[in-house]
Amino acid sequence: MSPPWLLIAWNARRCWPPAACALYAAVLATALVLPWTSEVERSAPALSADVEAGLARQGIWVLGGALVLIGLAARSASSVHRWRQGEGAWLGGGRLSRGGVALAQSLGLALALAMGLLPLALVGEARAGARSPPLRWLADTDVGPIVLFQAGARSVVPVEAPPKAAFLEARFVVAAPGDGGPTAILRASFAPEQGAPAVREQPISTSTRLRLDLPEGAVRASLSFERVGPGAALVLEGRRVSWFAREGSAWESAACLALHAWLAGSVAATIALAVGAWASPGTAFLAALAALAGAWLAADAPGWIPGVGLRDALAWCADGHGPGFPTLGAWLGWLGVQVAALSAVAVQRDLWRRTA
Amino acid sequence: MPSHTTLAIEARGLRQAYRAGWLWRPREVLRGIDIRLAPGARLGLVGPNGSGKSTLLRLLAGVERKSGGELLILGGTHADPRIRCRVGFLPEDSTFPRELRALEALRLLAALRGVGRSQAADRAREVLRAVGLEASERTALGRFSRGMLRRFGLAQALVHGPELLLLDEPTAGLDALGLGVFDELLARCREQRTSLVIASHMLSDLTAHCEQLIVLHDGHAAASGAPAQVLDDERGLALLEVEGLREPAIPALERALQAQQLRLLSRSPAPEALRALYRRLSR
Repeated sequence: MSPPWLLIAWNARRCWPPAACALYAAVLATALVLPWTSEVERSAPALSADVEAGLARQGIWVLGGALVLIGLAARSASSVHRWRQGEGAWLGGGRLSRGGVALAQSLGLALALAMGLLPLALVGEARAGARSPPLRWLADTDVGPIVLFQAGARSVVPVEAPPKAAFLEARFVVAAPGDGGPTAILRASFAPEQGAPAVREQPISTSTRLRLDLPEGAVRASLSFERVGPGAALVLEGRRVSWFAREGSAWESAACLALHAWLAGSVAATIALAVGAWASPGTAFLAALAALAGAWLAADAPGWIPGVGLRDALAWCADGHGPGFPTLGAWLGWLGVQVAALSAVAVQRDLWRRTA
Repeated sequence: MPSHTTLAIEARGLRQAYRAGWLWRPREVLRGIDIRLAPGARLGLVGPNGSGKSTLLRLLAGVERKSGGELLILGGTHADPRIRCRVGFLPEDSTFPRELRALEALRLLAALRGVGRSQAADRAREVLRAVGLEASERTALGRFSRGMLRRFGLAQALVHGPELLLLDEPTAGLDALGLGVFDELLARCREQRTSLVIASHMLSDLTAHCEQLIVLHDGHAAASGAPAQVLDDERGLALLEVEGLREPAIPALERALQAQQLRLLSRSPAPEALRALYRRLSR
C-alpha cells in the first residue's frame, strides 16, 4: 500500500481498539433483544407490522448510531492533541504535507465509521425481520406556506412529481380552533395535466398525515388543499409534501440509513478534527456534538445540511416507510464541510508543535 | 542538483518563538542560532534544561516552523518533501503507533519517508536487526519497554537511510547493551558519512561521537568549538578509561598520579563491564 493508504488504514484501525469492539458488540447484542415498541403501541390495532419493523430500525440506529458517531467525534477531537503529544514528530517529518496527513486522518475516521455502521445495519435489519417497507421516500417538494383558516379556504400549487412517485404525503396540524371545533375536514386533490384527478378527504386532528394515491404516469399536476366545512385552522407542517415510491426494500433501507449516518458522522468527525487544530480537544468535541445536535433539532433545516438527512430518514422509518438515498445536495453539503474543515486544519502552522 | 559541497545544515539567525496566554505574547525559545555543518560532520548540542536543544532539533527536522532566520537543510528547505525524506529524527520522547507491531510500524514509517513498498519490509527488518529488536518484530509497540521503544526510535530514524541524522537524548533509557548498539550504529553512520546532530546531557555521547559542540543557554549559542576546547575545565577534571586496572595496580597508579600533582577522585566500572555481563547472562 502507498503511504497515505497505510496511514488511513492505521487511523481506522486505532479507532476500534479491542475494548471498544467488545463494548460495541455488547450494545448491539442488547439492541437485538430490546423491545422497540411500547406495550401501548403494541396493543394499538393501528400498529402495522411495517411500523413495528420501522420502529425497531429507528431505535437500533438511534442507539448504535449515537454510540458510533459520538465515539468517533471524541476520537477525532483528540487527533491534533495526539500529534502535539509526540506523533507529529514522525508524521510531520515525512513526505506528506500537513493537508495530506489531515486528509488521511479524516479518511481513516470515515473508514472507521463505515466499519462501525456495517454491523449496525446488519443488526437493524435482523431485528426488523428484514421486512421490506411498503413505501420508499423519493423526495420532498417545498410548496410554500399553506394556512387554511376559514371554511372553504383553498390553496393550489403547481407541482412536479418525481418519476416513480406513486404516493403523496402531507402532514397538517391544527393551528387554532378556527371557526368551529378542534378538528377539520381537509380535501386534497392532485389533478394531472392529462387524466383524472386523485381526490381524498380526511379529518385532521392535532397532527395528521394525509396520504394520496397518485394516478399512474402523472408528472406535472396541480395540487390543491381545501378545508371543507367549519372546523379548526389547518397549517401544512414543514411547508412541504413528500413523494413515495411503492417498491421498498429492507436492504435498501439499511443502505440508505448507513449512508445518511456516514455522512453525518464523517462531517462531525471532520469538524472535531478542524476545531481540535485550533482549540482544546474538549472544545472540539463539544463543537462536533453541537453540530450533530443542531442538525437533529433544527426544524425545517435544508436537506443539504449534513445530518438533517439522517434525522428525516429515521423519521420515515418510524412511520413504517423506507428512507431515500442522500440527495445530491446532501453530498455537496458534505463535500463543502469537508473542504472547509480540512483547509482549517491545513492552515494551522503548529500542528506538530510539542505541547506539555 | 545539490553539489558535493552543499552543507548538511546552514542556519543563520534561527529564531523560534511561541505565543501563549490571554494576550498571545510571544516567548522566544531560540534567539538567533548560526550553524554550518559540513556533509558527514558531527555536531553535539549541550545545555541545561529549557535551553532550546529539543526545539532546535525539531526545527532542523522540519517538525516545527521557524519564526525567523534562514535555514537550509541539505541545500533545500523543508517545504520540499524530498528534503524531509533525507532527514532522520529521533525525538526526545516520541509516541509511536502502539497498536502496530514493530515491523508493521517501521514499514509505515518507512513508507511515509518515501521508501518504496518493495524495499520497506527489507529495510525495516534490517534496521530492527541493527538495533537488536529482530526477536520482537511481531510484538506490538504498546508492549515495548521504554528502552525497547528507544531502540525502536533509533530504528525509525534510520529506516530510510537518511543523509542527516538528528538525535535528541538518544541514550536516555538505554541499558548497557542498548548503549553498545547505539555506539555501533553511530560508527556505521560515520563510515557512511551521515551528518549527525546529537543533543544530550551525557557528555560521553557528545565527546565520543561529535567533532563540534554548541552550548545552548537560554536560546543563545553561549559557546561553540571542539569538545575538548568547549569543555575545558579550570580544575582539569577528566575521565580516563583504563584497561587492565585491577586491585594491585591501583595504589601504584595513585602514587604515579600524585607524583604528577594529580588526584584520583573516583573509580567505577566502565559501561563495557556491564555490557559484557549482560552478554554472558543472555548466553
